[in-house]
Amino acid sequence: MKRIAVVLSLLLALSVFLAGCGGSSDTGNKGGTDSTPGATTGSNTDSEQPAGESGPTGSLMIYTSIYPDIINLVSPELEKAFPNLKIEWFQGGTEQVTAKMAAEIQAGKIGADLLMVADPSYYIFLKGEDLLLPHKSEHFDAVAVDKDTEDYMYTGVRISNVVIGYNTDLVKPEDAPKTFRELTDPKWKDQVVIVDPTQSGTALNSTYALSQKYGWEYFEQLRDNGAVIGGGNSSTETKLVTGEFAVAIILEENLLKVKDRGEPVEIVYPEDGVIIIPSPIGILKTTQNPEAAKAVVDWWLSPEGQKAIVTGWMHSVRTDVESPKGAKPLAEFAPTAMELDWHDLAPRTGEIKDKFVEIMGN
Amino acid sequence: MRLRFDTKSVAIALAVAVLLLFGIFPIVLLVINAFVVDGQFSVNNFREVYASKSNLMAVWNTVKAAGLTMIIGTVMSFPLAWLVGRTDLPFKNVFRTLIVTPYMIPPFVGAIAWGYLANPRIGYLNQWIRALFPAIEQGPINIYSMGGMVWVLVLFYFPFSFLSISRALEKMDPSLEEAARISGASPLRVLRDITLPLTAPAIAAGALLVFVAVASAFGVPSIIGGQARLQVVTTRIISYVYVGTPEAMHEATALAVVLLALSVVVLWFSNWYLAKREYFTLAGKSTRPTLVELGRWKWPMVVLFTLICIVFAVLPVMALVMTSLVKTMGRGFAFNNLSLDVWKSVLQDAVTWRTLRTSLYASVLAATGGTLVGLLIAYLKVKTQIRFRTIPDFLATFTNATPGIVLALGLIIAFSGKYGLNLYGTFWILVVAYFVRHLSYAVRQAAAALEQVHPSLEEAALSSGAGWARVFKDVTIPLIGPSLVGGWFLVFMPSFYELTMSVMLYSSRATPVGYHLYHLNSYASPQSAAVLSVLILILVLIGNLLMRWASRGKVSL
Amino acid sequence: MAHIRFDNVVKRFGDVTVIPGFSATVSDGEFLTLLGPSGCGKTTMLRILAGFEKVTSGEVWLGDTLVSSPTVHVPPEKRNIGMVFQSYAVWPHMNVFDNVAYPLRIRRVPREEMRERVMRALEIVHLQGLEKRMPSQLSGGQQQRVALARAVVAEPRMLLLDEPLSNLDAKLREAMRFELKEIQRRLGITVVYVTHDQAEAMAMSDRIIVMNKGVIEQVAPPAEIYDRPKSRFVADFVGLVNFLEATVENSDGTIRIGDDLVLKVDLPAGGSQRVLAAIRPEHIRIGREGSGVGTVKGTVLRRYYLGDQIDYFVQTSGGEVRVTGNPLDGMFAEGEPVVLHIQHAFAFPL
Repeated sequence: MKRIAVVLSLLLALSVFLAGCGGSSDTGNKGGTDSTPGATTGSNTDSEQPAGESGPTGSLMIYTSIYPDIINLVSPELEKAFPNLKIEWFQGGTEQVTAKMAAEIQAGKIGADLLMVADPSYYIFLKGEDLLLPHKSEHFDAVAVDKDTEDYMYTGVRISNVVIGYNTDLVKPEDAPKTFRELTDPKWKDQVVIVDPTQSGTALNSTYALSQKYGWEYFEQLRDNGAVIGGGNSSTETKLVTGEFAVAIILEENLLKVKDRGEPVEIVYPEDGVIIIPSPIGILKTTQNPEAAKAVVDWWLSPEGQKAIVTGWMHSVRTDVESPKGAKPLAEFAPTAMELDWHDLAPRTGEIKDKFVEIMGN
Repeated sequence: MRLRFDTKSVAIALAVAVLLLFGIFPIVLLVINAFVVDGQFSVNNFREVYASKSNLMAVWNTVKAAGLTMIIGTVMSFPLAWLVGRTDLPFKNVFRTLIVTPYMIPPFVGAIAWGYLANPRIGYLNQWIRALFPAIEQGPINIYSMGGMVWVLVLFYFPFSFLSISRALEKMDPSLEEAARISGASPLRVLRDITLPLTAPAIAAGALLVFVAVASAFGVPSIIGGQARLQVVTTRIISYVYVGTPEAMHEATALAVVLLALSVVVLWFSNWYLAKREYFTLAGKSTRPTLVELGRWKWPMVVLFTLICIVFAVLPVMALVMTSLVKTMGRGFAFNNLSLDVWKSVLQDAVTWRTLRTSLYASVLAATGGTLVGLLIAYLKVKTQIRFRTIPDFLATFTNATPGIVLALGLIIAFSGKYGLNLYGTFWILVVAYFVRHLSYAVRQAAAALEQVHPSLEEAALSSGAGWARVFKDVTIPLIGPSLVGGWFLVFMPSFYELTMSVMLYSSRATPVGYHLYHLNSYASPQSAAVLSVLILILVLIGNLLMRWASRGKVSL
Repeated sequence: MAHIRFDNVVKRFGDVTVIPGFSATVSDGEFLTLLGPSGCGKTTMLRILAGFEKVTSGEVWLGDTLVSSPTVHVPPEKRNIGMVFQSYAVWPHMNVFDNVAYPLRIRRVPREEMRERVMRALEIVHLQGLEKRMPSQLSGGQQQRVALARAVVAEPRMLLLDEPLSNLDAKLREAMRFELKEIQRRLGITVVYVTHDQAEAMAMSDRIIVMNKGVIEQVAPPAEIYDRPKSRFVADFVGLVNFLEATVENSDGTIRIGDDLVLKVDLPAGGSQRVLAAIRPEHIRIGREGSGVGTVKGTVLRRYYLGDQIDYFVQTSGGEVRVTGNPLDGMFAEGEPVVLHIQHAFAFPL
């Protein structure tokens, strides 16, 4: 019996310890909340407090595919801007987040207030299901990319580009591939790694774009040329930087980040068209805290929010914010970008994924 | 039988009801769902699902991987178990512990580690081999292949077979073998004529366990198979679930039912076969079995076992640690390229602690509930005369044999609010899943312990006027305490690092650490995944030591 | 046929010395029993003889062959020994015939001869007609016979029996004693038998080795063990005994117990003034009168009627004495004054 008591107390100590660890970080996230006795977290909607100078209160759940390190980067700034709002993040690959959303929609229990996933077509789908809350941000007009100009259901908030990356230890700059097309060339046999569209929204977009431009034969040829699925963008990035593969079809922001860290990679903006993905932000209709959601959207679209995006190696949707460090300005490759019809894609995402798995699967 | 509404009956009835509601109901519902489309019985689901070439390939790959793993694992297990159990191999207790270490390492952590060790281009092993033999320019080992996947599966699932055979050898009356020796048979002849035939049922049972475990495995196929372009049934199911539409869910159920049928058939067959073939041998006095002398084979065997242990236990852990300490992945493992940055960032990340906490709470609750319900179900089976008293125990075994992925799918269908209870998307569905899946470990521990408690002990207490609940608390529980603690840990540990069900049942507000690791590895930061893997390994190790100590050595993984 | 010789055999398991030094011989055709309480080392000696354990030092000879020494170890399968185990060790996956035939198969005996010899062995143990049965269809006693048939079928040079009767019920155990002895006589085989049951040992053995804590206490034929135990342990372990403290009256062996009991015994060496007298209950006759050397007055404290005998507990001046009474001698009531006639006693150092 004594031993049982010891085990129990050890467990208790462990949970207190874990709670302590989390607690301190949570305090960090919450910022001043603790020192403002009136603004407790928890139930949030019918808060009697006016959203005056102290800004919105309560809590806000954001589902996003933005990388965790970037979330950690913007968290302090959001805390500064919204001292009384408790912001929670649920982060995952776009396709994982949307799968979770699908299940929640089925169960009638959407946990998200705000959605920031990569794939623009998903917002078209949500709009069709009447699940979004319209909001015309004060910065709406400053946004230079795709946005819902009819109903203001969503707005582009960040720009990700699918490009080619190569490992400079393995490939000389003069030998580097210039186009997506030439990756099916025997020159790159067994050297290419690509991202899985069943995990990543941007990969879904690029799969769609490439299959539209070159037909599904393109992926069959890639497969026959020994191209391999590397998982999500980050694990694909790892396979590139470690030299497991020489070339990758991957997000520009991943390459910029690791290049800055000193990894041996270089970026190619393919001549047959960069795949530009203006990832939107949108508010779920079911939100219990619309005021906070709107305020946070406005913050993201503001110059401060956009600077955070750029610090996170993505391009801004505003023309008055410069490009991320080491990147080509959007204007230089936008004119030759690959064409994408988000409305055409929206109902076809399942079909695209199936086809991809069928080709690359076995 | 008369129904009496006393504490005992009510408690037992409640336990059984919990098992039926959370374990059996979802599985039954899943099966119904697979066959009923729009209120009509139909096999259209199956026709559609199995018309797809990639699904058929996935089924074939599953059978192939499970079959190969079973054969290789069994062929490997028997000699190892025999050498450890029946010869004078030096340090065999150390070897026995090390060789089943993979049992403690969550398979997906192992798969991650083997990815680092043996990927064709920059795997540590391949680099070393190429450094040793400059003539080799490529590879030579490619973990991302059917062979590689089977290799990792063998490493992490052969302990089922090894432990099953070891236990049979321990249980076997040594004089059966000695009688053959004295009859004139050489040690090898004894092995062939006596040991092998007598352990055959255990060998078969172990092999079938391996087959089912591998067929239901998700971690290894998702990590190794993904890059090898090898889809198996479990990864297909997850893909369908991730598509998330009702049609996709239907297709997932059709795949799941086949996996379920496979497991049930194998479970049933193995029970039936064992019941028929298990030889009850009257144990003699506790003589130690005569150890076969290895003679000049002694030291070569020690070397072999050392190598095996290095490959099984040391290499994967080392690969993870090395990867976690590298500063820039592009520069590889070198002394001027080491840093603790990744460790720092993982340890400082609130998500790490939040997910650890979620897993801790969920598995503590599952383990505590499992121990309670398991005890009552075991009590029903062992200590009462009620008809059908063994059925709940069988049902618990059944939910344990049900592949995690199938169970999770059933739970999603059953508890999304359609039938009154809406747990999906909450923390509680994790607790329920862990509880149902691992309940049978607690039942088994409690039943084994209760069988040792002589009825007269309880009768003595009852006759001195104590009520049933009182007797249970004062007499029964203290007697079987250590076994209960062991059972508690047996539920707690696999729940803590559970991956397969977690991948399906996690939600934004309740993300278990198993899912977080999977997510880090495939999406966010493989290096952080290495750190978290090492962290989980340390916790599992501590848990195992604690479990051994708390159950007084009665139970360990 | 074998002549077995143990020459100062020592056995240690790690730091524990189980056998500090064992020397003995067994002659051809002899039935020798190792008798002692559990843990006395008798089974270890048997296993050394069978070749399942090595010796730490010393030698074991079978006839002219050295089979065990620190440097030589003939494995069990090369010793040509038959053995019956406590648990019978009948192989559950083979039928009776195959079990018994196994030693012959190993020796590559031709089919016809094998059949004949198996049948003969089964006949000896009275199992004719059961050769197709599986062990699970046999009773404990029948399994025992299968094990015995298997042990003798190859005509080994000796037969080792390790507590073969301890798992049988009381009646069968009794019957098997005589049967085992009968089989041994018929085959003329050397038998080494291990048991903790003195009745078994007495009934079957030519000689008994009584062991305690790895040491031989006495080697002698059964009657001598019983009537002239060499040590207090032997006296106590084999049969029942009353131990009473006594004072030596005279060096010719006269001792006094209590006030009035004077006995003649063989005094132990050492010349001590105090000794421990040992008297078996059945060496005492109970009556109503008598006096002189070897008699003592007492009162019946308790009486237990067992049918074939009556156990009395009698209070004497020297202490409480247990007496086995013959019902033919009449009954004595509790509380009745009696006179005990001691017919035979031995003495051990205190």
